[in-house]
Amino acid sequence: MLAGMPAVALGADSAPPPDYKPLANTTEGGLWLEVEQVEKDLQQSPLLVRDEALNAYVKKVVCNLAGPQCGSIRVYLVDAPVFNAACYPNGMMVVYTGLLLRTENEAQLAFVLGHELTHYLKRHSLSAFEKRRNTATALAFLSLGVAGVGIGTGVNMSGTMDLAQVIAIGALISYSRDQEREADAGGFEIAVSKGYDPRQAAAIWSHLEEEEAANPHRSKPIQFFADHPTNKERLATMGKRGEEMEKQSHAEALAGEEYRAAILPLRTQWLDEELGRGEFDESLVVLRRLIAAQPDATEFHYFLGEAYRRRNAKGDLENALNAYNRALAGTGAPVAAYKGLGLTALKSGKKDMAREAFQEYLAHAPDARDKEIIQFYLTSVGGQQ
Amino acid sequence: MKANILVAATLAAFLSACQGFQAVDISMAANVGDNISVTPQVAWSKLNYGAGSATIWTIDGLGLNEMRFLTGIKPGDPLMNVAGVERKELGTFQAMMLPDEVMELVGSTLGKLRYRQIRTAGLRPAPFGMATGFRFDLNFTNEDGLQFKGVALFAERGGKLDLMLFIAPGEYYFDHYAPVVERVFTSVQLKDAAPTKPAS
Repeated sequence: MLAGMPAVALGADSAPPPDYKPLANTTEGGLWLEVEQVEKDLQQSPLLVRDEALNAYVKKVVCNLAGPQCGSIRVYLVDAPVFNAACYPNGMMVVYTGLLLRTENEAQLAFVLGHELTHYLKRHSLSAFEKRRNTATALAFLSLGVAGVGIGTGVNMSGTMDLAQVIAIGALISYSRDQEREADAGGFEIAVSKGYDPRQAAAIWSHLEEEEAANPHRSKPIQFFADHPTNKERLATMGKRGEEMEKQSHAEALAGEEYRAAILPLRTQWLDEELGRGEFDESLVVLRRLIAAQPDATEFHYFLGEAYRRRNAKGDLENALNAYNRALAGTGAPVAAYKGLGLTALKSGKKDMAREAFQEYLAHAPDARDKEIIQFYLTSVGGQQ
Repeated sequence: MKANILVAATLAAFLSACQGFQAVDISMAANVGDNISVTPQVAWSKLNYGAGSATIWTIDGLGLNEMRFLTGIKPGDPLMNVAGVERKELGTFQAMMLPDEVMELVGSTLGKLRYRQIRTAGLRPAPFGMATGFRFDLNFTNEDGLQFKGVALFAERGGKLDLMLFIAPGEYYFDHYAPVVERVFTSVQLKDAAPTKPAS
């Protein structure tokens, strides 16, 4: 990908100049070779989001932040419902769709991407790798990747890999907390220098803190935070910086409308995948925040109903009924809201409501792939199509 | 050193798993748990795993085609154990679940196995031996970027869930073995008269 560019030796603390490529016979050169192979595999993955407009939008945000380094950064959007992003030593930047669903505006996205860019510019991965490497074993581990993990119970006999390898190599170059603090500070400075509202940095961490705290079953931190300063520390630091910036003259760009427009074509799919995680406590936090920003978006109310129905804790079925009805009272509600309403009514013993909802569903979607099961439900409540 | 230990542990786990495989006797109906038997149709190898009655059959090897028999699942239990995931993080079967809810539970459990882009569709009633059962189709992608297809057949009997789940790569393997799987599904025999719970 960088063929023809001069290979150079660079001091460990130096930011890589545009189009930098390390000497092949150095530790850094070896690390690059490994990551480049991972990148080639990732380029073929069906998990990549190939929506041209969205890719162009995120790349534009990255380039605005990266300035002269823009050409060195290649952005890959990965379809996975987790909050995570990473920038690898060769300039491969991976952004997960779960992050794009959770950031509310371009400013929040910019602070996260600025953080990752700082890791790249400070070449944190090299020092992190050098600390961890016992070169032969580390690279042997990379070659094996995570093959075989899970044998015996959750059997998933993965062989060669791309996203799995992205994760494996990420583990090898995981950063120290000091490096994460430096990336926080660097990302903040980059984003603020481009005019983004400084308060949005703290907003992201506040939202994730709320999400984590809502889930009593979570045993590990959100992936993005595996080696990061605690959310509380980060929240305090970013909040203080944001307040200090408030006192100075600065722009307050959010670019919320542009951001929402960019993700709109894929948002329904991401919300569906978000609920598919089965972490409904966390999804409810995300959905309530989305509804607070766009109260009239019927799609959000539909998914809120789905989250309540699927969690099915005390009071959830009633909350689900309210959410589905709120969605159906608006314009452009997903037809599936009728089905959700019917399932919830069925669970609640409200047979008349269930019958009416299922009939409405079939009336709006007569060719639905699940019409046989809907007819089965209808029969169970004494109804007919 | 740490990586060496990890590699050794991985290999040990793999060898241990391999030693657990047994040939399925093709000449007779095979008990797959909780008073359920099926006719194998072709030569499968089976692997029992976990604390319960979970069994995997495969023809060409795990990852290429897997028939999971997850039977006798009690309310409050997950469908399966998942390596690296605590039990409390897994969704659980609940009494009086609707067929749609069972399908959603299968989807979220596959997500815990780190499969991505999980799509379920075509839920419909289907015989489970003499009981009323349901089936649906799946599509998903593993982290290697390999796309899979699947089909599931399940029933709730006596308050417990019995589930058969076949998954294989969409390219070649799934379609090649789909007729065999259909015959296995059709061959289900129930040795007891546990009542089937109709959705209501």
